[in-house]
Amino acid sequence: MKTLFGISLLALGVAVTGTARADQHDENGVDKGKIHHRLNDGAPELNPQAPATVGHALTAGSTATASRAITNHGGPVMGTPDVHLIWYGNWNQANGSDTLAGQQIVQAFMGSISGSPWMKINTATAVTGKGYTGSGGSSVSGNVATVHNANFGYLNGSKSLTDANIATVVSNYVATQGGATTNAIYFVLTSSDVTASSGFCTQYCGWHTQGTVGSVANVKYSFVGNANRCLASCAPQTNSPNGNAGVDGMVSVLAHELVETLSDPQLNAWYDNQGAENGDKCAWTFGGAQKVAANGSFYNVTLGTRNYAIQRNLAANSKCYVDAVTGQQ
Amino acid sequence: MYARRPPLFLGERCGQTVLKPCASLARRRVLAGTLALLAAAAVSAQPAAAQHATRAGQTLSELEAQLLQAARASDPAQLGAMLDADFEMIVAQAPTAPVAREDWVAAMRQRGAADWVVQGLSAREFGEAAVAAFVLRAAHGQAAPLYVVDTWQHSAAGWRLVVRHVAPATGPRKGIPGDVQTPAVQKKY
Repeated sequence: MKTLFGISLLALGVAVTGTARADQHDENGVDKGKIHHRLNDGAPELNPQAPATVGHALTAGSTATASRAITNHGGPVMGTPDVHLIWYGNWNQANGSDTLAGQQIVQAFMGSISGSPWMKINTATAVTGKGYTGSGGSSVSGNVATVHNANFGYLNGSKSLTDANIATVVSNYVATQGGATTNAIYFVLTSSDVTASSGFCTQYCGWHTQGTVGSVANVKYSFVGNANRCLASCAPQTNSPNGNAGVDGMVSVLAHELVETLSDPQLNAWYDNQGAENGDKCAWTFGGAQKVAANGSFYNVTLGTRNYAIQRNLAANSKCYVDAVTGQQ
Repeated sequence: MYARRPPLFLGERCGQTVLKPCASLARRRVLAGTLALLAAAAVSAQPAAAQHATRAGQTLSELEAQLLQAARASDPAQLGAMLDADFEMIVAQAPTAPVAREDWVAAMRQRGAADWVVQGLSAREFGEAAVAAFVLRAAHGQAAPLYVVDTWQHSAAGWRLVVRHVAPATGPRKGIPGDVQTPAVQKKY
């Protein structure tokens, strides 16, 4: 009986500790005990007279192992893909977002992401222990092969794209490239005068899928909308490291869709028992080592000469990281 | 996701209808209390319902989850703290006879009133207001799903639910003015 009594007390302690942890934060580290005060509560509240550190940092997120493990469901992953950035709409506007400078933010990100500590989250490092592997001996390398860019304009003048329209955009684009390839990811990046009618801004900020394009099966493509249409929904902050909140918001979503496509290219590989992929499980969390840019915005990743606020990514060990080399979460 | 509340521990009192020594009863109380706390921990450890592809959607998902959690706690203060002073619920079958705030709070405290799961939430933000539209599905049993449109308003005190519109989400999809079914590709956010 004494033993049972002792075990009970031990269990009591564990239970209380576990209760406290679980009550305080969900898997994304969001404090469940508080009501968020604004939809864009991640945005810094800036006082131009005050030091740049004044403001609210972006949600850091939990450092614990995710409550529902991510597992491989038998499908392949992508190793080292080519990336195609298909710029839809008008990216030469005077609105401060859909500009050539805006395109350069994305191009610089994609041009320097290959092999970065953020991309290595998808691979086996001393920190992650294991990487994303799939059927046929496939494994995510953490690298990108080549990055291609093309301005598309509008599809029949359309500023509201259905899912089928987006597939057509990809189809028309690959026709100019000699056809689609299966080791590529085609991103359709829309200007802020364009929406996607299946739920952009209200249900999603981006998505990825695969399908038959032309006569080629298993072509991977993705939609990422300009967050300038809905900063409260699709951008982490309204003031951003590169001075373009809409496009800086797109970069984080682009990164999210990129790693999801790598680890679940045919929608049959890595996800948890509720369908959440690696990017989903760390969405809208940015880690505990955020820095403040000169304009007062927050960033957590530096690639080349640019700073970015990129959401964390889930490693195959079911933990969210910003950096798979230092282990920064 | 929405586990039932832990069973209540009905302890015996020393010196009343007790046949065993109080020391033994104390141990039994600790053991039973521990089991109850373990059950509570198991409930609390359930994953949060709040995960959404958009940031606004995630915030509203959390608010809806907190609202259900407050109802499950059967705490009128906790529940009332999430409601605007003029909160009302409007049911499709009686649009001119809204359910008043106090009546709604009392009804939501009834057993099973919060045993629902939020699905398919879409979020729109309009300055200091935000609208969440979603389907409520019964966590247990056969209750028909409901379509809910919640309007939240932000103030210095935080987010408050101003009005809830509810209608049954059953029956065939036909005869809805303006309705067009657009084929969607299988995609992941």
